[in-house]
Amino acid sequence: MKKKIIVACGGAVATSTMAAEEIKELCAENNIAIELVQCRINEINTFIDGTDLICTTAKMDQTFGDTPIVHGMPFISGVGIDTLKEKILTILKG
Amino acid sequence: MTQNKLLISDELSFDDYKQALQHISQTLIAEKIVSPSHLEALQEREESFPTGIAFEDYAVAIPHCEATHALKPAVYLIRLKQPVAFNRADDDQMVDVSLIMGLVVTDPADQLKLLRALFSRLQNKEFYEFLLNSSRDEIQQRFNQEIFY
Repeated sequence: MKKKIIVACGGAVATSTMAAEEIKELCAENNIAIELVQCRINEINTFIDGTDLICTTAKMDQTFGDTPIVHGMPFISGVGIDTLKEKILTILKG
Repeated sequence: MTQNKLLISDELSFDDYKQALQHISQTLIAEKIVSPSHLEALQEREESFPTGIAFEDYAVAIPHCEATHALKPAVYLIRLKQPVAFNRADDDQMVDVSLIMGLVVTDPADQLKLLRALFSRLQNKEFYEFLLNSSRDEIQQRFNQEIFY
């Protein structure tokens, strides 16, 4: 079954696009089929049904039940990118 | 591809990031790169979702707002005389930046290649220092070759 991932930032313009692209690549390399939704943080609720992972590139204080949330800034800055990739794969394969 | 524009300003200094945002919007509005609604959108965006990004041992701010306020894609590079503090995108700290890179994106999907080229290069200190220390012509040339292709 496809894993559903939400990638969100403040305005769904620049940084979330980068993170979304990195996640697509990571999942393709690891043969994980995904359905990716890119939206603004305040729209997450609309898309939350059946979501396996939320990745945000902006600060977010909310939580969404027990849906795991990872911070996507390493995709932009390169700092801590391997750790983040591992974390995402662990969540999606789990 | 829509022609991208690169604007560069040197030796500017601002009291705080809010003043920087004002300068960015005013410049972009005057250049007819964004619509007049850009200023408010940029300010609101930075308040809710700040754009200071800490790289390995330097930091850059990439203020931007939604594509609806953009008329044509552009990158506005500001090299500061003195660093100015921006709120960090990923935690509650502030970070001093010497380089501001205002992004004007009209179509995120269309401009993904550009965004990716820009951000992946920014992760290299060599590129960051090149942006700080090179002439405008050299920067324009490198952007034409590596970013705006």
